[in-house]
Amino acid sequence: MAKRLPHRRVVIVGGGLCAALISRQLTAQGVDVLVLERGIDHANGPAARLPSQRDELRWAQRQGLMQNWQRETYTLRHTRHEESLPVRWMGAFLPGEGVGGAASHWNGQTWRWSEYDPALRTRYETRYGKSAIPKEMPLQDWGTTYAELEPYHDLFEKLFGLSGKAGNIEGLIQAGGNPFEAPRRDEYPQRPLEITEAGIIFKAATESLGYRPFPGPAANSSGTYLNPDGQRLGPCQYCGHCERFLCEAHAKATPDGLLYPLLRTRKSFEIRTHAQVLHIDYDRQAKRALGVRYLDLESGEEYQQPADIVVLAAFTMSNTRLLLLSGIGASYDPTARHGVVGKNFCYQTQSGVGLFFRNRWINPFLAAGCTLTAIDEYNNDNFDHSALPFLGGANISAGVTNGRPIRSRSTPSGTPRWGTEWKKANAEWYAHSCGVGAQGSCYPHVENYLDLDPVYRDIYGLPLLRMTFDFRENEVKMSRWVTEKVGEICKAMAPDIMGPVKGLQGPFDSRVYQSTHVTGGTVMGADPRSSVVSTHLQHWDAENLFVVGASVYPHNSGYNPTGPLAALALRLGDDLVRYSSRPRQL
Amino acid sequence: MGLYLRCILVMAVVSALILPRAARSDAPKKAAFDQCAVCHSTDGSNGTGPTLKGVFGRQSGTVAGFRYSRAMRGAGIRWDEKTLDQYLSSPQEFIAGNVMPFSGVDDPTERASIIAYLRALN
Amino acid sequence: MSDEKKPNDRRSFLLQAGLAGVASLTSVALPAGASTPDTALIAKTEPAARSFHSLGPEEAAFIEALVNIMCPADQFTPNGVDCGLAIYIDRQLAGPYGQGDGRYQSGPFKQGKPELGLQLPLTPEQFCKAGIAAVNLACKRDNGATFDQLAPAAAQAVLEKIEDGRMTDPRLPLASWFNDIIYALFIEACFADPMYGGNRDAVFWKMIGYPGLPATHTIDMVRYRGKPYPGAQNPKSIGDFS
Repeated sequence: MAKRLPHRRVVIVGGGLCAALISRQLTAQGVDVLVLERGIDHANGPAARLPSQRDELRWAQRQGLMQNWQRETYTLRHTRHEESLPVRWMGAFLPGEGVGGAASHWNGQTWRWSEYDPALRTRYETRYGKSAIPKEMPLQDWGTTYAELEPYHDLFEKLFGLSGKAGNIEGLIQAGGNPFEAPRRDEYPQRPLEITEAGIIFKAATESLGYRPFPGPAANSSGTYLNPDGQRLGPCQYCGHCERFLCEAHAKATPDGLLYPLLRTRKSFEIRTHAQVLHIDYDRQAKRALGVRYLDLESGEEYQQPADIVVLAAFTMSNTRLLLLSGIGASYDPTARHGVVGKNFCYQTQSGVGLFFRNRWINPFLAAGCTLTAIDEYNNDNFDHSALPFLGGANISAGVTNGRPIRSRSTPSGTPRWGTEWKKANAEWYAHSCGVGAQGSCYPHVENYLDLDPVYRDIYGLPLLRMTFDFRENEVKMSRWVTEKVGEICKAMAPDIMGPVKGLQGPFDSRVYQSTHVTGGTVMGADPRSSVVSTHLQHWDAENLFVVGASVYPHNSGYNPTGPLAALALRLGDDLVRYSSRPRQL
Repeated sequence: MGLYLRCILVMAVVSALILPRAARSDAPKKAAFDQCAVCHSTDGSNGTGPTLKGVFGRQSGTVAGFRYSRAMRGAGIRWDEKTLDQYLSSPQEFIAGNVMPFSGVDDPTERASIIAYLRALN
Repeated sequence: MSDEKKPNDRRSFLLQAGLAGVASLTSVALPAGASTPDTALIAKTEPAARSFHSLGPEEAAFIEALVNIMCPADQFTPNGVDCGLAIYIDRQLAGPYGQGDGRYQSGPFKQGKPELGLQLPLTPEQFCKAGIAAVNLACKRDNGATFDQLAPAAAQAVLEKIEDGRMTDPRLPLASWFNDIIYALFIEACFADPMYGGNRDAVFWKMIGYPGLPATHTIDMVRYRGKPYPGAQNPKSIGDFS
């Protein structure tokens, strides 16, 4: 029998970036907030200090900071005509666990997305006609606009001290920045990171082809920074231990570094770690969330935590799963094409070409999480799709983010996998190789969705979340086309050896890392028939329940997802201040 | 211009150069120290790095309650202008194996600013 | 791909590389037919560093032969055993990884597409040992000898057969055994931090030019961009900062 705890005003599930941003807004107005995080606080542990921080085996290979698959994993099938099986060790994406969540161990690449992304369906229909969008692609507008989110993007960038070069300040295109950038009110808070040798080669090649390269926007601090809340960032050490690692130099902008320390000084804020939320208590008649039920992982005790307002701010998969487990909202049925929870599940379409330069010292170990030089000419709808058999595109970039020796060595095709020739190739090429990558959009498909697995359960006895997903025709065609463009750029870079030019194809391989950018499942929108939450992220079937994170994205763009979800979280924080003083449909 | 007037002029110019600098002398030192402030307090509390309150004249690796690396504990250095300058110039060359996640300050003027700031803490 | 050097040509590597700190290289029991170990060196190493936690004698013989094939002594490194690769693998099998820590281990267990990952009810340690037994059985059947008794060229051929699925076992997916477990452990053994037992003296890091710790590169990022990095000749590992 769960022990009933004293009631709280706002309970947030998941102690990551979104919870921290929402809490910042709420507690500034004195609103009581309780955050429940199932992981621990890693701040002063071995992941955060030298020399143990620099352990590739422990943190990168063995996924030391990530979700424990033994307790809970995801099942996968490529189509709903197959049987799903559990992914017993997930390689493809890595949800973090602990205070700060995935944003404590991320690379820090932060984009605002295209100005038209929130109204993507309208954009494509207007430009190419209604029939340009395939029937099986349920693209939908978000119901909000970039203009509404811009002030929150600006605030987030200043809180996180982003390093970069603006490309569009209030409509004026800036040299050296991204000419396709959505208009911003201000330059980036800090100057860009140092360019890499790989970036120099890429920059010259892309400029010669008429493209406009720019430094990738970075939540790695290029200098010393003091944010508006008085929190500090130190200078990035370019240590090459960014993604999957915590930053020992306080140079990577993270919630645990910049937000939670501040929040902990506020009286109205509390965070409980070791708190695994199992269920949202829901009054179906009244259409209200009553609170949550959670398991204290230290004591084994189960608790009922009543709340006036419940916010799901966990990882994409967890937000979706909690709604399904709690029976809130109609789950998506792909046969009837009915229901909303679980639909529009998307990922990221990655491809790339490896390059080898005999006489250039690429030095991959001199790198940070965001030391990339990029072009956006072939991203999203930045180019004319009229004569093309796909929609969407990719951000193309070169650089190095690390030279970690277990996973980040490149050898030319045909190199044996062991022995003296293998050693020779490694010795010859390690310091002289890099890649050009395409990080592509992934649009929704009616056959890509999330639901509860009928067979497999987690360690608490609850059904696992099932992914029915593959890269379908649109993404395969887009990837093939964009990767050809990558190939042309690579030729212009004049490497001694160039790897194969091949787009991404299915079947989706759970063993291969391809970003932690899973999105969708609890999508936002103006129409309750096709969305789980409103444009203010308020649940259509529970007025006091809100959901935020990449799970609300109706599609994934050709960018890392963190930027818009941070803006949405800050805006939700302000919305919740209003809601808290006057509960209503926002 | 007579010699007397010339001297006055020179003194005035020199004063103009000295006095304003003295008035804003804290700003560049503190600004230089900002890169250290991320990890090091000046109020006695330990964080990612040990407090630098009282560091001038202190034996290396001896702040109570801070867990130093073996290298720093055994270094046996007394922090003064010279040793701090060497350390800040290249931490790993000066005390090999220490775990301060900082590659050093290249600019001698910047180092001098930091050191002056640290000295003033005493 | 033939292995022209003898698998345990440790001394010639040392002479070529002018390697200091010879005492840190452990000499463990060598496969039959190879040169005898340097007893002075064995006496210098700690028992803790050369005793097996997981592998039995036949299994150790197999793994040592395996790592010596995959990492022969040459101008780049000593042989696999002398690089600590067998000890690394043994320690991993005995530790959390080998016991299946962090792996979803609930049934039912069904075969599936490779993209869904390994579905066996075995832990990595169990899988590794079952594979060793299966390969030895096949070697005895095909060559009249266990894997560790094969001449280098024959052993190399066996691994190539397993790798691309030409050697099969009625019960165990041998290609998966090699590609998902053995090969991954081999790579880690070569390139993980030396504190885990492999990559002895950071020999593989030195080989590729990875400088290791402390990796505080703010100044280097500008000073050595596009230039050879001096620290790459003398990599430091976690032990140097402990």
